[in-house]
Amino acid sequence: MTRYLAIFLTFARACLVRDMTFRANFILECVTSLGWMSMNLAFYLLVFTYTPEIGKGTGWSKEPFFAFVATGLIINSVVQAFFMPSAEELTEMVRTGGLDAVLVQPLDAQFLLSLHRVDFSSLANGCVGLGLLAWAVARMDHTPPPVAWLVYPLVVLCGIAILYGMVIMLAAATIHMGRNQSLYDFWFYLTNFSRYPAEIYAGPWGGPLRMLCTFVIPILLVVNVPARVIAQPFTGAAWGGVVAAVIAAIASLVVSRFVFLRALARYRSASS
Amino acid sequence: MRKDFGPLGEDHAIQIHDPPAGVGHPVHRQPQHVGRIPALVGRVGVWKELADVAEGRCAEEGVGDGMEEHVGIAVADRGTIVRDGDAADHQRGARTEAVGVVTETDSKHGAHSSGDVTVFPYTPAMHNTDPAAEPTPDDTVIHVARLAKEYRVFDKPEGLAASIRGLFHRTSRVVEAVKGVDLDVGRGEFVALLGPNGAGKTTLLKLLSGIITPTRGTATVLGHVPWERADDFRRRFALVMGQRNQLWWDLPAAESFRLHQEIYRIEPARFEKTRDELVDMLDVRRLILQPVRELSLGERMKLELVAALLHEPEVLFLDEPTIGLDVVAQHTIHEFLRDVQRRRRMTVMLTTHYMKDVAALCERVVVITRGDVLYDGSLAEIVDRFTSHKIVTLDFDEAPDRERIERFGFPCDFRGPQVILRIDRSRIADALPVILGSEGVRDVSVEDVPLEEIVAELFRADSRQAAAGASS
Amino acid sequence: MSDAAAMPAKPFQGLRTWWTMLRICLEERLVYRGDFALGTLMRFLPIVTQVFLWTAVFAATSRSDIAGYSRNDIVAYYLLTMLTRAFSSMPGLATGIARSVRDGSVKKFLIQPVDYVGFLLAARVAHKLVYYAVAAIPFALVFFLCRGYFPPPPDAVTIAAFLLSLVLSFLLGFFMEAALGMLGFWFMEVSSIVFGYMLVQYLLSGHMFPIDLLRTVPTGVAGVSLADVVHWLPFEYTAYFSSAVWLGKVQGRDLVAALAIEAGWVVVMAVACRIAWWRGTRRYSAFGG
Repeated sequence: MTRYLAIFLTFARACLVRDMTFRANFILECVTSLGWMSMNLAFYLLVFTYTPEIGKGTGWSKEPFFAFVATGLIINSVVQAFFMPSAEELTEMVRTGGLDAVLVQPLDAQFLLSLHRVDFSSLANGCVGLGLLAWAVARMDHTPPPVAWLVYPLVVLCGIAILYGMVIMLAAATIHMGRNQSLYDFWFYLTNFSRYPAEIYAGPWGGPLRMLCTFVIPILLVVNVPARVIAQPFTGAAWGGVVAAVIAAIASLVVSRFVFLRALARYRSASS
Repeated sequence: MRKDFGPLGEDHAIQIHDPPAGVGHPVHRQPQHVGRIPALVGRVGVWKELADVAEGRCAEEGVGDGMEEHVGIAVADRGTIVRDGDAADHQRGARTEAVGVVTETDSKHGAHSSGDVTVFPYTPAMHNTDPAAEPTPDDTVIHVARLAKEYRVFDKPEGLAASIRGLFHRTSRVVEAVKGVDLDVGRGEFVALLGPNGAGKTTLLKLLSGIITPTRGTATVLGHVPWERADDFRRRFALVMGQRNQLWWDLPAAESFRLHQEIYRIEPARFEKTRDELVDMLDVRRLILQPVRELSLGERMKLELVAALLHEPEVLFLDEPTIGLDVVAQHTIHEFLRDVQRRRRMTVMLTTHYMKDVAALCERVVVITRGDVLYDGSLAEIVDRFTSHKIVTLDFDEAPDRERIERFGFPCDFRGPQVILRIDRSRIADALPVILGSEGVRDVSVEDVPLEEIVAELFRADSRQAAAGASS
Repeated sequence: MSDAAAMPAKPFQGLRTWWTMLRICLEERLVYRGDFALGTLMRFLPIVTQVFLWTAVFAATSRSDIAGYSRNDIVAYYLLTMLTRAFSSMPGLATGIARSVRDGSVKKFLIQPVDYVGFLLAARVAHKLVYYAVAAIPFALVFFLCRGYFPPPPDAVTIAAFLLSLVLSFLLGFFMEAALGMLGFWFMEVSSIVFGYMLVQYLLSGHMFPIDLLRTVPTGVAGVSLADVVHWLPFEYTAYFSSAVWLGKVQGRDLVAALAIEAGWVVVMAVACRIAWWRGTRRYSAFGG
């Protein structure tokens, strides 16, 4: 375990050295991802000039909603920083055969493939997310109780774990298909469902969709559970969500591990 | 670095006589090195070229001086061994192809003693004076039995209409990249895998390093089934792919080495010792602190090799390690590999398209075509088995009369004062004296058909056979 | 087309070259049909979220319309924007050009008697044709399922204007991205510029929300809203405009004026593209790549 930590730190250090070598590029990347984020925030601000709330009686008025958005930023920036770059590179590695070099090393392949590249610039969004969270929570009508602050980090980690499992499964699909340029697009579309409060999925179509995205692909639990804990009054009902998130996180890790190992066993290697 | 006859008889080395001026020597390369391997005496396996010539000359001039002049032995005791090829050849990395053992001596000429020479094909075992180093059957490192790998490939039809049809229906077929290969490799062997592109060499290497899973058959490497990818196994071998970069592109190689240390759990002291040793052997110390992307291909390859050898693997797989390198870098890498392999008694398997690699490094050659082993044996034997003739180059004082040369009845190629003849191996002993007797011959050399040509012919013959098989 | 100009000696020769190029591109695209079909299907997913989001917004607000859009209008707007974007978006065009400059593969267009911009246009048309061929079914299905959101079809003139705006939006999108890619002759790394462009484009094209929502956003100049400024920029013509035309948000003189602005931007961008290519290649050959 300490060996893996040491290796991960070596990876992280190497990536940091690399980022600092190309400082201008690093800063540009920070700026662009911040730009993307502020654009979305501007859109939400615009929407709130036309409505007091997202969904009638859901409690997602401006400040709680921004706490929701902040939670999403934090979770996504961690995933984007630590898991996505490696998964994206995997597509390329499968195509060019770089995966071969990984498979001959005496390390867990999943570890190596999902963590060998760290994109520090993606953490910029997370930092803004933390600031936004502080701003939104301070201006909310209610103050979160201490228990909410204790549970919040746990469910944020669960959200990250759920997404990590999904990244791994997508990576497994990449290995299986040999090439898949849509990986990143697919990721965008998938996580798109987690961007808004689950309450918006209502009605004859929304209901089943909400069920699907909660119990089958637990994407709705990723941001909603932690955001609810912090941005909505912390009642007994909140514990249900917390338990669901923990179970979903464990399931996501276990299933993705299984799928990944299967994909590796069927890997056919690029012909050279 | 000693790159020639290894531990053999430096102490028995004796003075070498220059060949008498003006006399053409039928032996194209002079045996020079003299040593003693008593164990060799009595082994049978006469290597044609030297033996034919030696016997031929001896019969003609009698045992004695003829030997001395033509084979170049000055002083020889019984059991002394001589080897073909001169020092320059070995500097260039040529292989020893035969050794001769003096079986009878005649000492009445004092210092100029001479005797019968029996010539044996050179085998790698002659390198090893350490009896423990002899490959023994139970020291098998790689065992492969009926190993096969099939791929399903989808046809990509040409033409617009066909590709639209392909939207709905894709046709596929099964390609056998490797079909039922059997192979055993002992500890310390240096094996070359040869074959045309797409023959299955790389697939075999990938199977043996556990990157892919076979369709059928079994293999063990160091006692492990490779595709189970046990950490214990993966810590004990290394794979270097000439076409792929495994070092961190934007960082100095030293960083990649550190990472290797972590991944392979190398003790710090040992890591530093090994790294320094390897780095010094290749003389790349100043490169390891430079970002890899700034290095030349050859420099990068050297660092790749260092990285691969840091954890002191017992088995090394090399996939086209010298591809795209210049001659100097190739040579450096040859020397390095040979040295490390010998020092560590590493088992090395190498695929390449450069016969230079093979000649410089490998004692054993496995030729693979269309997923099958076509030949498995020593390099010398491949020459022996697959060539029917030798290349004789005659240097004349001036451009000779064509008709006169053509009369010998061998295919010939005229290049000014030089004539290149292809002479049947069985006839060479008879033909040479006659040819040499012709007027104006200044120099002669007898050579084997170049390895490239032999292997190319081997591949061609196989594909012809395949075509014949397909049409029948 | 530009190829005909490049090979004036044989008029049909140019056409045939063009056709061959088109066919090769079609074949190339079809090889990746798996990605294609998957991509098309997924492209509708964000709309689903948007529909639910706006439904929730309308449920919470007391207004009957937002900036002149009812909830159904908004849904129809997003769907139509998908269609417009199918014409105007040029995935990988700018980065592709920049890459070909960086890795030197653009050289072959300096040697071969093929016009680069013309070649790219042909490739893009092919790409789009295949895309429509594959995407027609999911598009039709979605539009049919969502037919309840649409107002009754507009009159023939509006439909004609709509179709014209679609063609223009394709050309505008193409020349704008191509000109952007040509920056690769001057800058080593254009991916950040492209990304910045995409951000602005996403916001100001109306992909994210109807530009009319910006009517309430002041610019500081009296009587001029942000929407008025955006109206004079090329971006909204690659997404917002066509959808607004179909929904009858732009009519009469405004429609004609807007079409004229759009056509003007197409010409400007095409000329910019040409000039960038000429100057770029001259610079390229001068500096030896």
